[in-house]
Amino acid sequence: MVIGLDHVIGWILVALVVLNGASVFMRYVMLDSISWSEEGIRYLACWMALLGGVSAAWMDEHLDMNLFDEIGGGTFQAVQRVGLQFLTFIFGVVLTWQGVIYCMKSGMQTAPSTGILMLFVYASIPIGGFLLALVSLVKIYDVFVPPAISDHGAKHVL
Amino acid sequence: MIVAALALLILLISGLPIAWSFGLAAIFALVWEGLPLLNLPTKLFAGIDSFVLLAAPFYIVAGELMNKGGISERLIRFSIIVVGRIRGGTAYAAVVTSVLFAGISGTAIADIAALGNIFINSMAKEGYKKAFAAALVAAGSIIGPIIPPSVIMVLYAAVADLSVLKLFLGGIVPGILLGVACGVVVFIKGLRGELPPSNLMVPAEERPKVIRDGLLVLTLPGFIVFGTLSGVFTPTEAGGIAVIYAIFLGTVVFRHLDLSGLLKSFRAAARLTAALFMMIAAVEVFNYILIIGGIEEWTQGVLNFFKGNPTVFLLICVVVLLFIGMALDAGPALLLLAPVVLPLTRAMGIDDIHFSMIMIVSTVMGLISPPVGVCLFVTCRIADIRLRELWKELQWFFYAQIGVIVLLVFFPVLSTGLPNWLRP
Repeated sequence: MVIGLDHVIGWILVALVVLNGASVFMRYVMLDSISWSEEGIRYLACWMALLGGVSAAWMDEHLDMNLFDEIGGGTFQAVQRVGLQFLTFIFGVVLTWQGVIYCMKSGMQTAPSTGILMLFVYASIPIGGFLLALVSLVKIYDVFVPPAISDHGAKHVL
Repeated sequence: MIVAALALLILLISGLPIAWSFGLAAIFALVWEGLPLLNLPTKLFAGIDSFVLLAAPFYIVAGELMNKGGISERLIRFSIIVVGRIRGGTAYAAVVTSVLFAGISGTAIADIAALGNIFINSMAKEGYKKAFAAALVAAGSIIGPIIPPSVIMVLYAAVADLSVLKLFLGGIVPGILLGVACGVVVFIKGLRGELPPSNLMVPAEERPKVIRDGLLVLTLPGFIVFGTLSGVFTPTEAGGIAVIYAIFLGTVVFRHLDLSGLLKSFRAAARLTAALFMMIAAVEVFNYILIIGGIEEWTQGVLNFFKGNPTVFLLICVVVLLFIGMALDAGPALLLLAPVVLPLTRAMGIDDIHFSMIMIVSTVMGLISPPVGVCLFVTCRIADIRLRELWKELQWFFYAQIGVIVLLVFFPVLSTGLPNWLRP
């Protein structure tokens, strides 16, 4: 699932570059502008941030202070990992819960240029939050039951 | 506000990712203050939904593509032609390459990753101390976030509500000065006979091609700055065009990139961007708590204390930022502090770009400061040396670069001169 997510965010970034290039091309070469390009780029970027945040969490690529990385034995490290993933889980759950409420309250508005329902944009918040909570649960599970490593070095879980 | 700050401190120290630490501390403070939790998604979304911010992924992916497209070696060969075969020539070439590479990469880690292996190994073979070579690469790496295009400046511009272009222009002279500071240390070491003569050279018949390749690569920062300065593109659009130019160079001219390499770069850049955007979004929620909690009263107190002494205030800021930079990464430190400190400096009559450059350079120095400077660890890993060995050599570069910050404090024209002269 996370590998799929990783491909999705990669393609969103490709789409951002294409849309941005098309916008400049239209303005200077075709002497016309794509009125919805800026809004489209911003909303795609929101999806990329929320989904990419999950992908980066799975690959441990978020910045942290690393103070306890080399302190304590295996048990201390395991307890710390579980604790941190539990905190991430809480953040994911609150994001999902409040994201759903936000979608219900403001999702029926329409975007000024693209005319799409804002629900399709705001939905990135609860979906991102839900996937983050899911990833943190899997990571807690991984601490107790270490995943098997495939021939390609990839973890099987998710 | 104190509760939020304490919660943040505990979460950061616990090792939780910085983005989640800010988010959870904000949730905790919202509950504590009895404010609606709906502020979380609202402010979070507002934090990401910015066109200015979009320049960041474009510069990240352009740097990544240029790097994979084989620019490191081309820039090094170009620098060797520029610096020549003088004593310590390879060390000077490392400094010049760091400055030139800064115009492409935009991040310090990218500089070390691209130049570390090549310079540390080749300099060790020439007779340089490995720790000296590593220190030089680490010190040069912090020029990356200062000379445009700079990812940190894009993020900073978004949270501080400043012009990206003005910040880019403001970073050119300080970035070059940081390079000169490294050059001065190399020069003094050379005078003391501590550096070997350079063995590196580019054969005469290859020089035209090396110069052509070097100029093609260096077109990128020039065209970002002049394209935006002339009003042809916005900084965000310039970033997108830079990506297309990087793809063209990597696939058609240098032929180092294939489709799978391209997609891999896009995925890596998207993940890095997402991590940065989530951090910005969470900081936005946290800053809302600070405003609600009465940060303005606190800043008014500080303002009264330093009334009439802006230079003293700036010097104290430098010291505090250097200490913060030692413990917290440059990105989150800037994102958290900029909205708090900028209103103060504005009230004192300090130019936004002047203060921003001091703040950015001081915080970025944290990347090479013990105990948690990220660039220190990456360099130690690449060079396979201990932190103590690295610091023994790095400290002289560090002190020289601190000297540059002091110059920036006393001579605002160094950072404000170009933006004011070109008036973007």
